[in-house]
Amino acid sequence: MIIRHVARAGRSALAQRPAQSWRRFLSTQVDSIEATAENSFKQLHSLEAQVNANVPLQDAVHSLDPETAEKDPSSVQHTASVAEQYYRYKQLQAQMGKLGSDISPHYQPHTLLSNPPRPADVTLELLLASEAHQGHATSLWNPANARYIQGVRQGVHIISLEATAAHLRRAAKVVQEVSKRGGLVLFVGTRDGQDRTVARASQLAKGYHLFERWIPGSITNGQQILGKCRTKVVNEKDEEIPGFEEQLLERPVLRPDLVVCLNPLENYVLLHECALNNIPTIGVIDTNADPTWVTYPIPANDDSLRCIQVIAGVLGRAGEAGQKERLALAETGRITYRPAQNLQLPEALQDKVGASEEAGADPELNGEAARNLGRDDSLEGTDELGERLDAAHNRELSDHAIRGIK
Amino acid sequence: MIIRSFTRRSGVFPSLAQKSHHVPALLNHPELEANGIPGLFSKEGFRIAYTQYQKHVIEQLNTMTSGSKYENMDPKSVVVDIARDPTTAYMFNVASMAFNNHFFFRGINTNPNVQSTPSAALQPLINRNFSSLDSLRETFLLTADAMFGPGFVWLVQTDDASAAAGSLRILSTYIAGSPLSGAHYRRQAVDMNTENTDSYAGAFGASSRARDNKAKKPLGGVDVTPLLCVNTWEHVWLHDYGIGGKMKYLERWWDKIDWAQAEQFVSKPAPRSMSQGIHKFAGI
Repeated sequence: MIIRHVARAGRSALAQRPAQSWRRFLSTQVDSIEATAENSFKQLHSLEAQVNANVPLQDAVHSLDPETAEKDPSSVQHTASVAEQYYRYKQLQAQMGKLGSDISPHYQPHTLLSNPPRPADVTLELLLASEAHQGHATSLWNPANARYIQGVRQGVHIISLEATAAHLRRAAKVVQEVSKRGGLVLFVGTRDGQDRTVARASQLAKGYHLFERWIPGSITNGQQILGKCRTKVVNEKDEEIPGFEEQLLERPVLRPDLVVCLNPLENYVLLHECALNNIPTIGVIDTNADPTWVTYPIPANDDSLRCIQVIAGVLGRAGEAGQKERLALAETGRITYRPAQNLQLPEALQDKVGASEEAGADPELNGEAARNLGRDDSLEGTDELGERLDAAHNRELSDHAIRGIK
Repeated sequence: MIIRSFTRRSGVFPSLAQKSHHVPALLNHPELEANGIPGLFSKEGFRIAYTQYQKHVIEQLNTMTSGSKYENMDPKSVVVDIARDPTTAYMFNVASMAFNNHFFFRGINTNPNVQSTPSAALQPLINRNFSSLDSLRETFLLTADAMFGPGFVWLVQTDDASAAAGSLRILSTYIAGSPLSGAHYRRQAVDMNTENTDSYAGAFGASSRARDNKAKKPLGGVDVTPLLCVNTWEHVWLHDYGIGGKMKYLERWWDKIDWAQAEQFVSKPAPRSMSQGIHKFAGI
């Protein structure tokens, strides 16, 4: 009781002159009063804590003194942080969010970007629901597309979904195999709303994307337009190898190995440049588009964003599968592509490679690659084929010359 | 032309519209359909209480939500979203009843070979808040019996960070009231027929009852978690227990509570390094 009185007096004393507590430290009498005051505070708080633990919340005792709040924050009621609240909300949502009814599967637009369909998930029902069959008015058609058209309804051409599915499957196979062989795939979609689509597809396929205007000459005049872009040297596991910066400055600019165009009607220049440079192209061809502009047409509706997202998603997933295959083979030591020629190992790495080659570690540039080329059947005979084509072309020219055909 | 405008109005020809909500199946649903819940509901009683009523409520939910933005939303999200809007009161009622009824049946132990009791983790929490399981039972069942008219009685856990784990409380919701955090506006915890609606005395201010709920929580934060509930609507127990059989039904129900299911919703005391969990969740 006496201690409690002293404590109360001490508390008010401390509140008034906190700065002079160091002076009090010297005096033994005041020191002992302070010490007893602090001890009694602690006793009060521990009693409080004990009482609160055994009693429901509404009867709990809480100290309201702001001073004690600073010294002993656990006695003050505290609300959880926003992050903790959100975490708890997410936990409960997972457990009881679905209660009440079972909701039948339905179209959720965001899933076309967050979880795009795979080539195996392509069905005629999916394409129909995505409005892939909707062509343009019959008067606007390109007759070259006649083979893809099912018929006419309400004055518009209806694209045959079997043709769409078959061509999409073929294009997916092309993307998969190009990705598997380490090719650069460029996804292009310059219409409104296609930006997220191409970005997501290229992210899956580990390729490149473009959703702004194609700068004419980026391939034919590539050295001028893209010459300042950063390039890098990667090993077969896609890890960047530093030390080649000077050599890369002298190397020619890169070109895509495959271009996927989601709106060919607006990208004639891009497709023409690709054709001039023997770069295969895949394009979504509507009934009014020209199928000869691309190497692998996919007859479908290019005006429906949902249809474009399905097609780009499928091609992105195909690229993802190809990349996965390539990296899996790289883990076993097999390279699926012809590595870059005429690159000299920087001195820093030469010693390392020298040491590791003795131990038989992962393959490096030219030595192992040459052996791998011999093993890689897909690359067999490609030079031969090129030679034979040239020979045939020359024969044709000379034949025409003899006959006087111009 | 007239027929086309008729069909555009949602709900006029419900069979033509694609139904988004369906009656959810319970564990061992075919068995329950055939035999009811042994010890609680007969076959016909179960059919009335769950199958027919849930179907009715879900059909109404389909009718009310078809064509609107709530079409494919789960009932819990619908409830939280429209609790404050009096013009969607009926939609709230059916969504809330769908959620509450399913919650009730999910919390029943339908396995006759299992005697469910609160686990070693849950028992101290009950003892701390209600001094014993028996006193909890007494309080709970008497509260439910005293409620006049249809409703639900819930055992909830409040978000109480100052204690080791949140404390348990009994909450009664009249008619189609919801215990969920975001829908507190329609909690309907009080029988308005016995309240003095002309007076606001005691409703706000430093001395009001709601003072201890004044701790601010962020939008979407959870301050009340339902653990288990009992459905005291008459149609649930009328067929098996008769007009005066409410207490008998409540006592039978208490023996069939699935305490493991209730424990799933209990928030475990936050560990010292809560931040670790947060960072893991946020992917940092």
